[in-house]
Amino acid sequence: MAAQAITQGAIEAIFFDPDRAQRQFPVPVLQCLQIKTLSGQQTGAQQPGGAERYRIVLSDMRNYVQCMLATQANHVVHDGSLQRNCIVRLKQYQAQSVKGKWVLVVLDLEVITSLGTPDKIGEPKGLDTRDTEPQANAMGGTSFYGAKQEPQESKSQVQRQISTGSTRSNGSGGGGMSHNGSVIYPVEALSPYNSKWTIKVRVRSKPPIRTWHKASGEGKLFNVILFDETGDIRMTGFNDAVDRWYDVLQEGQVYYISGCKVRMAQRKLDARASDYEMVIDRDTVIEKAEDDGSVPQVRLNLCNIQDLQNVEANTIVDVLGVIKEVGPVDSIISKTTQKPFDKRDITLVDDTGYSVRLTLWGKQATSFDATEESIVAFKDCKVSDFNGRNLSLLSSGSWSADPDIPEAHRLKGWYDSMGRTQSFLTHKSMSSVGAATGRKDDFKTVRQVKDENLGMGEQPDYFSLKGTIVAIKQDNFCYPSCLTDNPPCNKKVTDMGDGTWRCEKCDVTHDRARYRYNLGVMVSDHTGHLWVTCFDDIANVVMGRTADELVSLQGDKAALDAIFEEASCQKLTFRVRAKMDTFGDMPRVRYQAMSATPIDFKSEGHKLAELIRQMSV
Amino acid sequence: MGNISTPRVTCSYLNSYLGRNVLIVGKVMELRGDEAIVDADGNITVHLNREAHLSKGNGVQVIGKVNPDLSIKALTTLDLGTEVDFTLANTVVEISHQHPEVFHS
Repeated sequence: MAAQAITQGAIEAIFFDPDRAQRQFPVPVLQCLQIKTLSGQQTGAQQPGGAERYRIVLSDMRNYVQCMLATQANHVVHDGSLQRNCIVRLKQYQAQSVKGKWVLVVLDLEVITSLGTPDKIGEPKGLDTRDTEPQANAMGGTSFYGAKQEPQESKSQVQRQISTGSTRSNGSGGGGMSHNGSVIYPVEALSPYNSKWTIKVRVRSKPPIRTWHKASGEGKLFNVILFDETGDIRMTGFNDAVDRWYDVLQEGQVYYISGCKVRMAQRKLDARASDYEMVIDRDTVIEKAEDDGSVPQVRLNLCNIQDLQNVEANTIVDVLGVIKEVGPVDSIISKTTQKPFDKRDITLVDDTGYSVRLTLWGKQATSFDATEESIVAFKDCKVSDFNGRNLSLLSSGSWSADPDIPEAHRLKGWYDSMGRTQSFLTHKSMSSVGAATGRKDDFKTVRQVKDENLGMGEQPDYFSLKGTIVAIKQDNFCYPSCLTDNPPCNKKVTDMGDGTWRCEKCDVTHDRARYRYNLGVMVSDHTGHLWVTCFDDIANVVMGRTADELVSLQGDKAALDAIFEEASCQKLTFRVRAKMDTFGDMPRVRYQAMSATPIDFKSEGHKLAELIRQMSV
Repeated sequence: MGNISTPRVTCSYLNSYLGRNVLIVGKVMELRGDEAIVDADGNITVHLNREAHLSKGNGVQVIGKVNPDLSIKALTTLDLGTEVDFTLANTVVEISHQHPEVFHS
């Protein structure tokens, strides 16, 4: 019977005697008496349109208590298992006191469907609001947790409220820790719906201060990534907050933090796992924690190197591997900003038998000092599909050498016994063969390009084409372009008639023009042909000489013919972008060559052999 | 030219082409005067002619006649350098024998 399953007295124990609750009721079983949906407006959250929140009432037959379902537990409502009067098992929860009322934040619960939905069992009474001070000023709104518009005094009153238990550290479930009278929240329970929280977190990374200058104003900001054993979250401070807190926070140290504004994370700035981020405001309090044992040193969401090939590009992962090779620091000039910056390549291997390249940037590149053969964990690497698979450490990322976690010890054991002498597979072997740019290996035949309507959609399509040049357009194969080189301006310049050439974009007149190719090339394979446009870089490769040289031969038709003929019949691998363009009133697909590389016969040969074998199966 | 074709072969196919002209791509293992041992998925003895300039360890293409003792009397040889992918070459031989209608007129 359901009544027998229910853990009577659990609710009272949870709030007033957490030790006993842990011992006697490690997994409380309660009846759900009510389920209410809270929409964005009702909860008074700053950001409307967040995930819906559910408020439920749970009873242990003696008492009932209001509970908020954490978003990660929303699935029990979405899949219909949580119904009114059903019986549930509380697997993970946090006890809180909010404005004088007891509240349970349910992080994980399980519906015991076999017990069905009996009518309300027993005569549960609301839990005594013991040891709490009633709020003097009535809070407006139906909000359960207190709207963001709450006046500032209430915050200090909350701080004085007695917590549910003494300072103890424990993992999930149970009463939770408290600090200065307020309960410690796990990072994963943070949300905009609740402003009275304190978290105890370690600083994972603290990138340098950034400044901005825009027409609307200028300012400075800093970000830190904080984490505890339940999750990580980004915290940003602007202007005054930078002065106040930037030096207080140190990487690797643990702090108690409260009073920040919690808002929805802006994914486009930083694709992070957590839904929320924190912003420091005037009421934010950050205190160094004396005891940092309860917060783990490092929290990793590990992906092994072999599995990287199944990870989509632009995903953020953590990896743990043995350093096979550390490259030197290279200084390169950014094409966009013309500023120099540092980079360094590391080769990582692990016991899946695969190796991968990881790139470090800026300060992380210059300050990297882990040695070859050490086990290093890299947090926050972005996966790219360049050259198969390849990792890049984000500025918010960090690395730690020889972390004290079981995976690291296992790797060390493997490397010492086998890994040192092993040869590793790279993901490059699965990427496009024969193409120096190593782009995704999607070779198409001309027929497939036309059948699949590549380029006719909203977005341009990219594909690789192995084909032979059968014809090259001899009229209009180039245009005069602006000489400005730094940054390169390739705009068409106008002939002023007096031997000078004017560029509208740079507002400059040159005394000669540089001719750049705009070559129309007919590429053919065994299924059909396509007209592909090649711009200067590619065309130089195809023709074997510059456009300027050809222009100087303008008069000599025979010579020009010979050159064009020589360039034809080349078999190359083209990387093509197909895009819709409108010519007057007719939309047409235009094919543009992004790269043209000679064929690597060896790998192409193997590929063909493989195809043939598959054919005969 | 004549009507005979010169099929690509490796060591194991030699006894199907006794007395015929064949084309072999392999690696030079030994050089002894006017004889060479060429490895094409198995060792083959090649009797060289005057113009042959082979290097040990390099790839070589030999066109020649198959003797009854399964050695080859070379008609022409071509040094292929060091960058030869022998696996690929052997694969080509295999596949061409699996699809004779395409390769062997």
